[in-house]
Amino acid sequence: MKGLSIQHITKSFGSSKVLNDCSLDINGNDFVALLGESGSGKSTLLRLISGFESPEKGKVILNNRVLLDDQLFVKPEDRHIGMIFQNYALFPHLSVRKNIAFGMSASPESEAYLEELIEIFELAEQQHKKPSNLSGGQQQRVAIARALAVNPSLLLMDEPFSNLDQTLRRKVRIEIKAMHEKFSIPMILVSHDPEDALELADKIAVLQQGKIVQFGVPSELYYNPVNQYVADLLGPNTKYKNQFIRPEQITFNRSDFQGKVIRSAFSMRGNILVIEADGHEFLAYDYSRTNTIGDEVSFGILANH
Amino acid sequence: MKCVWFSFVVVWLFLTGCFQDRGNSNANDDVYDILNIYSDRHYPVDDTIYKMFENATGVKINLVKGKSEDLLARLQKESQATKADLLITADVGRLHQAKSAGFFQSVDISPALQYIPSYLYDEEGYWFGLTKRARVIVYAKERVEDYEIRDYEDLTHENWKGRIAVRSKENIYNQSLLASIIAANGEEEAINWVKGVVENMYQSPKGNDRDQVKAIFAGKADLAIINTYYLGQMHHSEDPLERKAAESVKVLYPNQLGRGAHINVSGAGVLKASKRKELAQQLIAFLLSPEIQELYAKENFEFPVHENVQTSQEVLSWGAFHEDQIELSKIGSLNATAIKVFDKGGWK
Amino acid sequence: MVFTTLRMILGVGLIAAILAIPSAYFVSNYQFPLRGFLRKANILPVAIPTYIMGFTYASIFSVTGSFYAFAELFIDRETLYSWDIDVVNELGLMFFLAFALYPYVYSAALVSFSIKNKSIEEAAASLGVGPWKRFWKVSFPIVLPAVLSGLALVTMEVLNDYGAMAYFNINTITAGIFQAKQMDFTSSVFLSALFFVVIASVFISYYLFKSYKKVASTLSSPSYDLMPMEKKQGMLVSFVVFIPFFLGFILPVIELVSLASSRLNIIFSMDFLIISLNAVQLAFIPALIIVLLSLILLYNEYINKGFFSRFISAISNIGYAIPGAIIAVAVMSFVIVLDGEEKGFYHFLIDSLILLIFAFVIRFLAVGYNTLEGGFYKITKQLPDASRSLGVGSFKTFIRVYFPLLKSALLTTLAIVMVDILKELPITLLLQPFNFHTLATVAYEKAKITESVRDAAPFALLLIIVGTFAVLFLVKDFSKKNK
Repeated sequence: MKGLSIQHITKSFGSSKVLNDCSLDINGNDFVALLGESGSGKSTLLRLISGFESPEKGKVILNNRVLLDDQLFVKPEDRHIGMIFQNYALFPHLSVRKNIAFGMSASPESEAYLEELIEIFELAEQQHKKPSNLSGGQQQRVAIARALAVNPSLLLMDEPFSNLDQTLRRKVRIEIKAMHEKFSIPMILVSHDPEDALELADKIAVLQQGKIVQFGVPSELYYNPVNQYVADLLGPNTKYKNQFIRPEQITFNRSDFQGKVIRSAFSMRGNILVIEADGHEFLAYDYSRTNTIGDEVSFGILANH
Repeated sequence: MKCVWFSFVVVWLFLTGCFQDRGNSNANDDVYDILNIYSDRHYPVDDTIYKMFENATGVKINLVKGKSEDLLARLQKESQATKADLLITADVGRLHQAKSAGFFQSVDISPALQYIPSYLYDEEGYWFGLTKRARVIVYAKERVEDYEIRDYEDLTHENWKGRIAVRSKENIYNQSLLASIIAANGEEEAINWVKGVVENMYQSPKGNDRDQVKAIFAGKADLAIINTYYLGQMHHSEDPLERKAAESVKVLYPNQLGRGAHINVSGAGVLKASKRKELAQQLIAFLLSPEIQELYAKENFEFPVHENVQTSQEVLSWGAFHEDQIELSKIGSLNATAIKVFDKGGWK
Repeated sequence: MVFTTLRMILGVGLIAAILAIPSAYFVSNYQFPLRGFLRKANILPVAIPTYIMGFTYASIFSVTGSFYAFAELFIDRETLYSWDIDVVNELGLMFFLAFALYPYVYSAALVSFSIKNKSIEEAAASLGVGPWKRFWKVSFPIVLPAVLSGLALVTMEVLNDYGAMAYFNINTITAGIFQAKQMDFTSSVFLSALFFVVIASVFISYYLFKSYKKVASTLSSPSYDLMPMEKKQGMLVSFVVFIPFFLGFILPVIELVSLASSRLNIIFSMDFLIISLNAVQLAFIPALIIVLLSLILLYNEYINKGFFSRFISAISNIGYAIPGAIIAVAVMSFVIVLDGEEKGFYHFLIDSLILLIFAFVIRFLAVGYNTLEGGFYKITKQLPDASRSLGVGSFKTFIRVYFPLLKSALLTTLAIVMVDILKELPITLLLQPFNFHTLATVAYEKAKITESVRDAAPFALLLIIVGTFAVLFLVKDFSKKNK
């Protein structure tokens, strides 16, 4: 079976259990985003998969090959798992080209592949520069190219966008999505930003206190989160009758509810209103920007898409 | 390129360092024409003398120069396995320590001892004095009259309160001096002597023998206890002030009406583990020969142990003296007692 | 004896800290005249062994020495003598040892003042906290761990000194060990000394372990600007930073030069060249081994995380807490006990210098480890992680990632360890083969004959020159890092 299987992993640092009987199965070439608050064990899980940490117990299997169980521990260098680090971890003493070629064996084929990668990631001009002379986006591309150069069976990304500004972030997201399609390997992205996850991932896994609490397609997690924690991670919401209502589900075209605007703030999509109704505070987008604080409004809730 | 150079230097340093040639230091057991010596005498004249022995006999001398404490510790650890044939050290206390630890073997060099007074070597033949040193009192020429002090025992007189300069109890020469006082007057008296001298010190003991002379020169003290050869060295110092300091004092050989001035020896013994006993004996005999004794006397302001060899003119100019003829092995055996007495008397 | 030792340690430590911390603070934060020169200069006193420092200052203040000769220009000698100026005492030695040892604190503080989070300092400034208060409230607590680890090194050096202590007649534990060594290894003196050493080991390994890691964790923006100073203030600060260098290096070197003046020509003689070359070689081999071992220990901590690796490193570091003479006797006994009847192996080890080198490695591994650790932890662990995730094994990662990145730190470490070995005396005296000389032993022999530093001065100077070259080598590279 192609894919990654993580089974019953427990890992503690000192007295605190970072991962507690954590399991996750990723099939085929899925792009999975791993979400969770800081300290929920995301990075630790990533480091366990790549072999930089070893757990007290648990099993990791990649493409039918056991990487880790009670007896066996495959060293990181023998796992064929690529990793993109938060600050890219480019070797400062090597040129871009040498960075990318770092893990490649010397052969005509790999030389050709190196050229191809430089081409694909548009690094031809920079290839002889040292990483410190590159922009953040370029560094990111070098890091990805370097990881892909050794044909990994799995690619892990630890907060790869955290050092990029908003505009660049959007651009890089598109690049990564395209790359995922092009290279067709399973990828795991660790992020604390729901937008990254929702936009990129085929599936999202949410870690809470060392356990995967929900794993599914983005829309499922967004509209049917299993608990408040998952709901909050993916964006603003209002809990109403065991449902987590997202602001865009509120429509002013219906009048199932009567309420009063108690707060209003400007945002790109429309003014964000806090409406008090039925003993709850609903969040809503006011696309027409007509309502102000104190206004009585009537609204309805659209079903999940 | 830089890298190549660097690695070249590294390799060179490593190789030459590992196979350093230390002047044919074949200190091996199977070679007969060598002698290995552990010594804590570091005078240039010693090197000259060993050269002479090498030239005369064709025997190569190998040296480890160290502190006597270190050499004794090393001998203790090496025990029978030591490569050293001889131990040469600068004080009878150390010689005695080495003897009682069983490091030495008894050798018979009686022909060479014909002109050596018997109290200067171990009667059982474990060690032999090579040079004598006198530990004496020096006084400020300008402030002290020569009739004011005569004996070591006079140092406790209240007249000298705050006027005596002397170094610490850790100094082995002081320990031997005290041992001679214990031998002469008994332990009780010796404690009183220590107390009395401590009372009269101008400051808590520190520095070396030269510093005590300088203290007199600076007018801080009027009497000092020192070994004579240091005064000789000071007379020949490059520093004019140091020469002036040496000139500001006069030597008093104490106890001339009684037992005599305290002397100590630097000496040698053949180590038990030595397989070159004859050669070692030959060297000691050589060192006791009149020719070498004269060199010791001339170059180093020490006193020869050989009866027929003259002390250097310069040392003689400080006056002739009569020395304490107690067997030095007795002084050596009293070393431990001396340390205790120093503690009891509060000498620091 | 125990109290004397504690007093010496506290006294020397305090004076060393007073000399080192302000200099390090000003040098790493402010721009003032001669700053670049003084930053390096304040490391140079490490090239002077403590016993040479003690003897040299005693010589300066001896009644026939330079101090009186200088003061005589203003006041007549009789009056001077009557003042009873005495420096050959406990307090005096505290100062002189501190002059030789403050660079340990200085360089530790300098590194952590330099790499500490500059924004914290700026944040404090923006909150309206003045420079003085800022130093005490912000900078000082941040560098405190580094200062303490520097002080731990100072403590160990104080415990290892024998020559100066003997001359000044100060009976520390170390003097006790030397007495005990005369034959008796079970005496109470020896036991109490051993006890003290054990305590000291615990103390030192604790700080060796805490400090740099803490510093490394506060590491952030490497580049920052020095704060400018008004001209008058700048001059004053240069003066303040100059004082320790003057006391620890210029003054003793001038004295040694004047003592050796009539014999300075020997320095340039062939014999001298050979002796110093031998000394450099002898220092180089153990230094190289130490550098490699430190690197392996640190890398092992990275590869095999966890208590055990750190424990191994801690054990390896204890050597520095043990006075050299004890290490020498211990390795000697160890080999002799293991060896057969003939002790051929033991003699081989002595003659080939292997035992001596082995003892050096035990004693100075901690120095190498700590110097290298600073550089090692500046390399983020993600770099080797990245390398391994690319399928490059741990040994190759070591060669391809750590080695090139640590090049300058490795050279620095090599130089520092070499200087320490060049100065070393007790181990060399105990484990030397026949007909063997180093600069330190020759200087010691010469000093012992006449019991003065005068005859030893040319050799002491040579020792300082060689050490200074090594230090300059490292400091040059140190400055590069800061730019």
